[in-house]
Amino acid sequence: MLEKMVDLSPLYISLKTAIITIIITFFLGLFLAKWTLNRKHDLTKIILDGIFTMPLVLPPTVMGFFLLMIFGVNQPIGKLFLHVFHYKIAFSFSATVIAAVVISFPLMYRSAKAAMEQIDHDLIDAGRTLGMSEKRIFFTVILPEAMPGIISGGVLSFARGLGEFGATAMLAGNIVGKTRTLPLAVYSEVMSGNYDNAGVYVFIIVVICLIAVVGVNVYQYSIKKKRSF
Amino acid sequence: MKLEVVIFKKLSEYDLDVCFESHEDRLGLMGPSGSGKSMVLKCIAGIMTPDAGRIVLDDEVLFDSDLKINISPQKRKIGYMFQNYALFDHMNVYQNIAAPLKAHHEDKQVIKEKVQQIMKDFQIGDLQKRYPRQLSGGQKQRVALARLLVYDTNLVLLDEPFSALDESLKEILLNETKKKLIEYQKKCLFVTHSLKEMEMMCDNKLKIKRGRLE
Repeated sequence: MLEKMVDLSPLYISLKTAIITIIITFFLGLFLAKWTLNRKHDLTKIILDGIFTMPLVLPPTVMGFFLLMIFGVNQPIGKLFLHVFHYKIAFSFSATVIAAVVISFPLMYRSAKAAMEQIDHDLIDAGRTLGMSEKRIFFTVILPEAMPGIISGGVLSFARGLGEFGATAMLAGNIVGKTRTLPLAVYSEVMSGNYDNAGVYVFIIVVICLIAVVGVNVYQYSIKKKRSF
Repeated sequence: MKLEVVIFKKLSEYDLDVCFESHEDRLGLMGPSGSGKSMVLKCIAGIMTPDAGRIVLDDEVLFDSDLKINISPQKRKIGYMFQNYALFDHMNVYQNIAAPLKAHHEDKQVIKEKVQQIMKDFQIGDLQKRYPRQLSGGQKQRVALARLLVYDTNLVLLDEPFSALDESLKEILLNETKKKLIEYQKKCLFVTHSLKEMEMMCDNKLKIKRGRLE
């Protein structure tokens, strides 16, 4: 029924993009958060933090512009991929992933960093005096203690990746069945006056995002409940 | 025990400059809050680094700024009890006590036996599945002490471990802690701002004020 009325390819493309994106963003954000926190000088930390937060505050079209300057066919990295791997990045499916990773990254990075910063430093020192190696402290103390914050960062950046529009349009374009994600489909349908079809896409996005955010709240509530009276 | 401590460290409000040698089994370090006593403990444990000085425990040099020796806290064999106990919130009581044994790569069966033995000893066996947030202050202190005594250390540092407890409980737990330290043959350096606690716990005491011994 639904398929007859609207093309569902944007849903598949969006889900595929969002899932690949969150896997990359989750580990990249976590890694760079930890890496930034480990820098010795405060000034280095402040500057790195500023750079990593840029995609969150800059207009997505500006980020899209930068991405085109890097991955465009006539740009260094784009050229390299085209000639060495015979792969065109711009206006391909991988471009939707690259755009979504860059735009959703700051949410993951900032949440993970805040969650790790909030950990009582005595816990880390306690781990050291108890004989735990730094690696063991990271995996058995820092990560589990920060997990609620890290998970909520993951969900936020998943939703952000799913909703990415500006940078995606710039780098990946709006090719039906290839790079047209749900937000681009909403825009395209509205532009052609098909408000009913746009409404279906809007409904799908709202449902997915609501499920994700409510889901993470349930998770955090259950953790809190499990560890207290 | 032979503990030799020379520490110089610039702090934001004053300079920490202490020097002492002790042969006591239970030495006390007393001073008002902000006098630098916790910092002394942290330097001995190795979680803070003095700007200059020398720390020697039983003929083993743990830190020497001239010789550029700075043993990591993991290898110093010095236990530390934090004021807020620093129990791991996501681990239950059993897992908390097992943590130092796991870190030292002990055999699984050995870990199980040691943890169960010490929980029995401390009468906290029925708390083993509880998480730290589900414990009272006194129970937390007991779990922290069990975690501190379950593995091999040459010295334990107690950083105001009774200050967060009710008056009525303080004396009971203090006596209990002293008894356990003697029973497990652990030497300790005890930090407090209370003269009464100090006299109950320690053989000898040092006084510290604004980073200097009096």
